[in-house]
Amino acid sequence: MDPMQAPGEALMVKMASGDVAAFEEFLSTYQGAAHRFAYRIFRDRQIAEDVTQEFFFKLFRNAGRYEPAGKFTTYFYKVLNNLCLDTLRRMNRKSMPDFQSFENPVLDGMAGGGDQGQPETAANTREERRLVREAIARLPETQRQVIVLRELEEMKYREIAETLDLSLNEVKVLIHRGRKALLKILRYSPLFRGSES
Amino acid sequence: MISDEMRELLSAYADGELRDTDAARVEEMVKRDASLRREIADFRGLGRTLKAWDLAENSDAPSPQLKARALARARTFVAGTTAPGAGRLLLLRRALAAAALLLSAGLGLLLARGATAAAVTVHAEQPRIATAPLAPLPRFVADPAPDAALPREEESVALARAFWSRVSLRDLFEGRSARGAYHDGVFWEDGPYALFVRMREELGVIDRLRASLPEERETRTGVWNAEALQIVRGFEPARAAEALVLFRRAVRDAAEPVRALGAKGHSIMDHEPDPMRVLVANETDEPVLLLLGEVLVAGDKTRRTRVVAADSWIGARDTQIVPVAWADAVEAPVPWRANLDVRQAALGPTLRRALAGRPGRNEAFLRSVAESAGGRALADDLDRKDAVLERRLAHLLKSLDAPGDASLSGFAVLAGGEVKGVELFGDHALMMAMAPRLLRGYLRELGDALDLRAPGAQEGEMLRMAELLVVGTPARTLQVEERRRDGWPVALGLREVTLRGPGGKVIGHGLMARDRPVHLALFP
Repeated sequence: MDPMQAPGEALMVKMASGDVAAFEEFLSTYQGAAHRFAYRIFRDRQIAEDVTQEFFFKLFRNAGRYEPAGKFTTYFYKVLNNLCLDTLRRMNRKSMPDFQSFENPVLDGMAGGGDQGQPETAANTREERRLVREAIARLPETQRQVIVLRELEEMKYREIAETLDLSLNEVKVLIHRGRKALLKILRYSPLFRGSES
Repeated sequence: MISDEMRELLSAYADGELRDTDAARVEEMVKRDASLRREIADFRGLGRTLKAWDLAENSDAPSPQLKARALARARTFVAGTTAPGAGRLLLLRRALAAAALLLSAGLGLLLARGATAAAVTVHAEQPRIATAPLAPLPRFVADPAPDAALPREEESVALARAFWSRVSLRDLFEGRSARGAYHDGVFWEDGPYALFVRMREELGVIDRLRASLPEERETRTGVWNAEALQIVRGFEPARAAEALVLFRRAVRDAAEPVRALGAKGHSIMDHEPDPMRVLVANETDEPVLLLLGEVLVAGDKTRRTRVVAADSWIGARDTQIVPVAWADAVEAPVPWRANLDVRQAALGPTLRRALAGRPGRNEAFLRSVAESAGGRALADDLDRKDAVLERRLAHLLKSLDAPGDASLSGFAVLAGGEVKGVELFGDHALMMAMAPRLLRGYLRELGDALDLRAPGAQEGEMLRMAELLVVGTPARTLQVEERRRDGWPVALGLREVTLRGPGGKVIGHGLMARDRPVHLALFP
């Protein structure tokens, strides 16, 4: 069972009655996941935090409308994804943010320094990280969302379909095409982890 | 040859997401085709690559503030949805109860030694908003999470209400710059008061609030809380030695301060065509509080004196029309301009009482001037430089600000055993800022008559006067009128209050900020 599932549902039910203590527990449990997701989209910590905060408040405010019929993770990411997209539109960005433009000076600055002693981290240099960013940036918006939910959030296809309001077949195809597109760029790069170590 | 359709199932196969029948078909092909096996291996390698990349890029945990901010908003939301909606009558009752409590607590200590536990208990029932930390500003205009249940405008107003309900006046007026807020993606590092000003200017929040709140009646009549007034015990004889009784705040944080801020940078001029009102422009970044009876002097004071006729608050970089009285009404109004550098003493209690009882009616004030203090001209009175008076003033101020008395927030002035006036403030700092001007006025009028007899001899008289002032006035007959002046932001909840006992036995005037007295003056 998904570890996100059970506590999320139960806490949402409590939050529906305005239980702030439940909300606090909910925050402790899920803020990391939500923030990571938002950061993957915005590549800007401050915006990600703002959106994450807004997301949690929205969940709390609308907890009364939550129906624990579906899978909680799906609901969670669906609301979060929609909020991210709304925010992007509000920021007058017609597509997902240009990953290439969202530099991460802190991490990039560390690359080649602190990470060098960790060979298990493949994407450990500035250029390599940039390459991945560029590859992801080149994906069409929906493909990118699907890839993020599958590869990084490890969601099942059905959950992705429900989260993004796509059919199962569309998800299958989008994942496949997204992977193929990424492989074209990354397969021959030094950071590609073609074989399990 | 493998069809494109079959190839597109390869990812799903690698992820174990195919139905059994499809999975069996793909598996058969994969067994026969090495390129497909390589492709599946590539997919898995890609997954590992992306995860490693994500780990390196996205390893930072969210800041601790994220949780705190989200919790603060939730608490505010809960408070906003459970609190009765903008009940003006409720606010009025709270205001009166709080004022009565502060007054009665003070008088309780006037008449009894030590703290009054009863006052503490009663106060505990009052809402306490002051210590709530400032959370980030709600997004008033561009809420990125539109709520389907509420029209955006209503939601915005609800958020604004909730915001103001938890912002303490201390936060507003002290403008703590260490705090900041996000608004619409922009970090505002200003103090909260500056935020308020900017929001008012840039977002028109106050206007929208004003438009959305229920219509506020110009004047309301209420009664004091009778039970609160019964908490009266005794008095503090040590203080009475100076004929000045200090009010100790029975409950800390019972009221929030409105700062009396620097006097520079304000100009005052006649508000044509009505000479009974002046236009005060506050050109600083901080609000200013003018008290009933403060004298504003311009040019040669004989004919250019104005007296503030009601407690008035002027916001930062704002203008406000302030009601005034003037003693030289026989002269035709002439252009008049002053600045607040010339704030001097306030008038004595007799004239302030006249102003408090009849704000805006200069005739009554003029009559009082003629009858007061041997008919001395107001300007002459202000001219009086009395070394004894100044020494006495310094002594009184020192006793007000004695170490360990930081909780004092009011005082009563007595002469000849009679209570001449009671001044209550939101807090000690505000009292200390305003006391010199007010006490000068008292001393000018009462100086020679100031009774410095031994406290024992006064005890009975003081008790009697205190009872006359408040306790002896049946609570239900003490009328309270409140009025919000044009230009005061609704959200700050500022209201001018006038108190009247039956037959004019007690007259009072002051300024309330929501349920807290900023300043209340009471005259028997």
